[in-house]
Amino acid sequence: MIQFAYPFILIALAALPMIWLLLRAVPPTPVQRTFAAVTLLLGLKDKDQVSERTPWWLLLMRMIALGAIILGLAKPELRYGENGFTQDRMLIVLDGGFAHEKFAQGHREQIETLLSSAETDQKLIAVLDIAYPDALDWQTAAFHQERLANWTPKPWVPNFEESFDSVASISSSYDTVWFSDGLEYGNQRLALLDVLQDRGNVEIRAPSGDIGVLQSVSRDGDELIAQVSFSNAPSGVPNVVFRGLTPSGARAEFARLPVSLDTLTAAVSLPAELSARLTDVVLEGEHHSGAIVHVSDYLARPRVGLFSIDPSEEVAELLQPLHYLRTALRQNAEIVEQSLDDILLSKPAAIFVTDVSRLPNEADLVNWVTNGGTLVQFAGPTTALNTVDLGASELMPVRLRQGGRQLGGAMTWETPKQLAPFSRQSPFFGLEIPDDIVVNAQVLAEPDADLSSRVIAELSDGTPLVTRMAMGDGQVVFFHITANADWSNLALSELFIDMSKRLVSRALALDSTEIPDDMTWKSVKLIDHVGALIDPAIPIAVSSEQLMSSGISAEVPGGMYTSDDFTIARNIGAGVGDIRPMKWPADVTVQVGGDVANALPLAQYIFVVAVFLLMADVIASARVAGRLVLMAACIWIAMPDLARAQDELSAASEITFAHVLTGDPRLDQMARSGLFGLSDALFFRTSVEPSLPVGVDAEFDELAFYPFLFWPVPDKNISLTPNAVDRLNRYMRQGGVIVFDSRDGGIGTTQTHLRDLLRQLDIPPLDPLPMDHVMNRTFYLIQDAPGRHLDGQVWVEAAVNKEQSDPALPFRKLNDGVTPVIIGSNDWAAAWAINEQGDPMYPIGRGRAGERQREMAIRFGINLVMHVLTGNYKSDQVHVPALLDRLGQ
Amino acid sequence: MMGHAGILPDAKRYSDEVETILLEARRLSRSIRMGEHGRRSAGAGSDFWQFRKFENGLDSPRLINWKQSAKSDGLFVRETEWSAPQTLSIMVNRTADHFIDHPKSKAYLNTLIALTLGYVYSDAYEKVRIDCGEFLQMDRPSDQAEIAETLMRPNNQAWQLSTANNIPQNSKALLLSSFFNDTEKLSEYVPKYAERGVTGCLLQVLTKDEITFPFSGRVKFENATGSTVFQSDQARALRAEYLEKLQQNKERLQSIAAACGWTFLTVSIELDPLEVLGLCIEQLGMR
Repeated sequence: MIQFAYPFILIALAALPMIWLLLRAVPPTPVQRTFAAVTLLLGLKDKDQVSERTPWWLLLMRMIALGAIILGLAKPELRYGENGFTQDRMLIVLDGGFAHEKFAQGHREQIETLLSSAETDQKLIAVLDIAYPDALDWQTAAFHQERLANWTPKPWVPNFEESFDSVASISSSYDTVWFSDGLEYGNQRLALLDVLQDRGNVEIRAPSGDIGVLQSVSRDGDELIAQVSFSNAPSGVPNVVFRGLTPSGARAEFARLPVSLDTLTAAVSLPAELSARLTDVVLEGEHHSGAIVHVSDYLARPRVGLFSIDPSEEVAELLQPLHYLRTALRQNAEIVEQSLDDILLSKPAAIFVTDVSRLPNEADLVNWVTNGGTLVQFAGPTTALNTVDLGASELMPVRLRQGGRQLGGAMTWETPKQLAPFSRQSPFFGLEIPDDIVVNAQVLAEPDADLSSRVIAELSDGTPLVTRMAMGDGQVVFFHITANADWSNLALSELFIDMSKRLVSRALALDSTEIPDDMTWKSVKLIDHVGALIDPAIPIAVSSEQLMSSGISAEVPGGMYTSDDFTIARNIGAGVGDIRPMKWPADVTVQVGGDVANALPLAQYIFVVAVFLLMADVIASARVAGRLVLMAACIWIAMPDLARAQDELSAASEITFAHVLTGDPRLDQMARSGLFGLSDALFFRTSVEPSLPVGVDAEFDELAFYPFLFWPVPDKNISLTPNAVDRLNRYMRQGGVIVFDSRDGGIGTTQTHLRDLLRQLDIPPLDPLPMDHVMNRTFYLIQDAPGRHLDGQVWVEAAVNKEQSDPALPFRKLNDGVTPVIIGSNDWAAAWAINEQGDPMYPIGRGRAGERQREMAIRFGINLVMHVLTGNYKSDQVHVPALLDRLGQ
Repeated sequence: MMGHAGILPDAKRYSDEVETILLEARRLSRSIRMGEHGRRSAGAGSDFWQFRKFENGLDSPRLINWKQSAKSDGLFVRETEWSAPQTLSIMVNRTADHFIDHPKSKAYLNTLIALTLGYVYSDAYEKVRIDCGEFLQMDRPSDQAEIAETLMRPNNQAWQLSTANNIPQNSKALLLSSFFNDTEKLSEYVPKYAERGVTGCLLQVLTKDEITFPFSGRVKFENATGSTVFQSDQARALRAEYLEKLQQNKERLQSIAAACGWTFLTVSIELDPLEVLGLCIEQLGMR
């Protein structure tokens, strides 16, 4: 049954017959042409008498188109089936969680259809978005239509408790249509369903597709492992894509690999360079916020430089100052052990230096630290001897006291000291200190005013163990003990590993379990419904407990959170866990997939028909009026690239000569005929068999296919665009030759234009064509370069070594290479030009002498082409005897 | 689309046009180098023809070439080749139809050809007269601008061919037109010219549309003045018939020309003027 939303519009159909009469009365207007030969036409008769009026079929077509538009405006709807909804209120329930994004588009369309039929039936509508529940608000369908057109799912898990409350609190009766994402969220769904079934009929719209979630990405040594979960076993093998930034900052795909369906993981080993720049990992084909994991610091492998003053020294491995650092950092960082210069070049996140008397490259280091580096220094015997020097260094957080301090030795009073608990301000706060760590020796700090603020770890007697000083964006840290086990067994403990990790925490190793408690986190980026990171309107502050314990919800949404030195990403997939498909009870209607509408809006189809009819009308009227060819020509002109591409294709496969289009059609025609004539001569006389010449536009066409460009200079100013200049210069540099011809015998006005043109290009120094130039003997032995004029000077690139010509040697070794330009004025193209019949097109010289001149012009042309194609081949000494023989010397 | 017939041309543009076409003709004429037109016999001229023995009594002693005579025993006279000037009369059809699509009109090409031939032959010491109501001579610089001006302005009357008496005997003539309406006139005048020993060439200039007739659908054709109108509902169907009529027209012109020993040429307005000039010079036999 067809229903109209605005039936009164149909009255307009009554006007159609009137329009019919009106259109019939007007015949198509003829095209007016001024045509001198009209006298020849007089007396001719048209073959068959076509009606002067618009043909009936054209009229009918227009009428149907008009009728269709009127019909479409009345918004017809085809109703079929019964949905069993009897009540005058309808509740639309939306899951609205992260997974719903995958089906949001289809559901939006279904909602629109639902609402428009509800509008026709004048029902009251309320909407319950489970992910963002609110009290039920009964309004007209039109009211909701606008709101739901822009409805997007929320990037978190649906909140069933609150939804249940808002439904259960009011007991009126209504029917329900529930748009579901098809996932099971415990038993909460069923509880809500029970309540809704009490209120009236419930229809479930379930999606036909499955959901996949990317739960986490973790690092295992060199491998990155992505863990996924599917609601049903996927039909294909989905890919996991690792994405990141290129050094220039552009987004790029680093790796794409299929998920192993057995383990539901995908593991990839990325080079450290790439993994440092990894930004996110995506499960392909899902398009919702649960299928993307944004990578925070914990996956990156920062670069850490290790530097000891004499690493080459032969020391037992366990005694090496760097050994324990290396072991501690190896798992989480890429280690660079080079000279300090090279370390700085590799842009590390942190540099660890052990026991030096004075730091080399101090200025560079200061610069690097100020820009965000972390410099960690360790004390040692050398340091203890040079405390005065070191204390004066900018890179030392505290001034050091002369000499070290020994604890628990044979000659000391004091026993070895233990570590005091870390204070709240310390970056080590929260780390557990084992009982068995003792310190036997240390260097001491001078008790300055700001010493206490710089201590971040101290011994039980209050003497500093680690001091730190902020410097620009970076920091310098000093361990008052050695990095090996000489002065303390700290280096042997797990604590040492944790401490060194924390120090480079800006870029290092924190998974969620390692996050210190009692911190406040601020959201700097939030994940939106498609999984992209957006700036939050108002940053959210949460505590460590909230961040770690609760799942992803409206209060703690997914995103990037920072606190002091740490950045962590809260991804949606991690909070979701394994997912399962929802199994609906048997007593509820479930419509699966998108084809559930029981009312089909017809307006859009009718409009499509109308548009097609109107397009057909345009073509048909053009045909009737005889303008069809014109129209086709317009369309053809709109696609010039097609023709151009074909030209280039053939140019690339055969030798093709090209002339530069000048904008003067006669000149272009002459150049074309000229090159055609030259090609013809080459075809007959040589093994060069060129295809048809083409005209090129230096601005748009690819020039690389053409061995040379012929450029007849028109009698007007040519100004080249920077793009064209660029392309021409590049063409010449890459071995192309441009032949300029001013066509005036060197005496006319085109000389000025030629000069202006050349000034815009990179033209090398020029010389008049010397008699012994290789161009004069590449094929024929010739002496001059005539065209339509005889005496114009030809210019080529000047020889590099201008040795004097020796009368005894007929040929100098000049021009080792092809000249990039040949400039003449003899109007060569006119002399070469032939028409399709092969007859010369332009008069040359006088009588018989003219024929001779034309022949010489062609010979010059052949030599020119040979020079372009073979370069200096003919100046090789091998040819000299043959040439001398021919010259009769 | 409309020609400029009947519209008072803007004076500035008009004078520019005259200047431009004169310059263009001058430039084209430089591209063509005429040979000398010797008569292959001794006479008045500047080129050397032959030395011959001095005939006592017949030749004035003043004619003796002493340089040659000193080389041998006899006396010699130096004779030059006779190179009398020829006369070329050019008549250009200037009816409004020739100004359609001006300045890319037939009139432009016609004028350019007439002026260039004028320059070329004047430079070679020939006489060129161009019909501007009366004949003006190209070798007089004062006449050149007037010729160009007249030729570039449409004539509102039908084409008047000059009477035979106004054409010098045994001279050459060149008629430039599209000859659509002129066959009757030509069949009357050309034989009269030929009687006076005048040989020449009919040069028919056609536009591309006239050669190919690319029209289709409903078209209303009219001439430049709008005096003749023809409407067709299916112009494409007329093409074959039109081309046949055009061919008949050409054949008629050819037969008129051939009967009097003249030549007939058809060129397209699209051609390079240099090429057209080459053809003209060839046909006129005045190399």
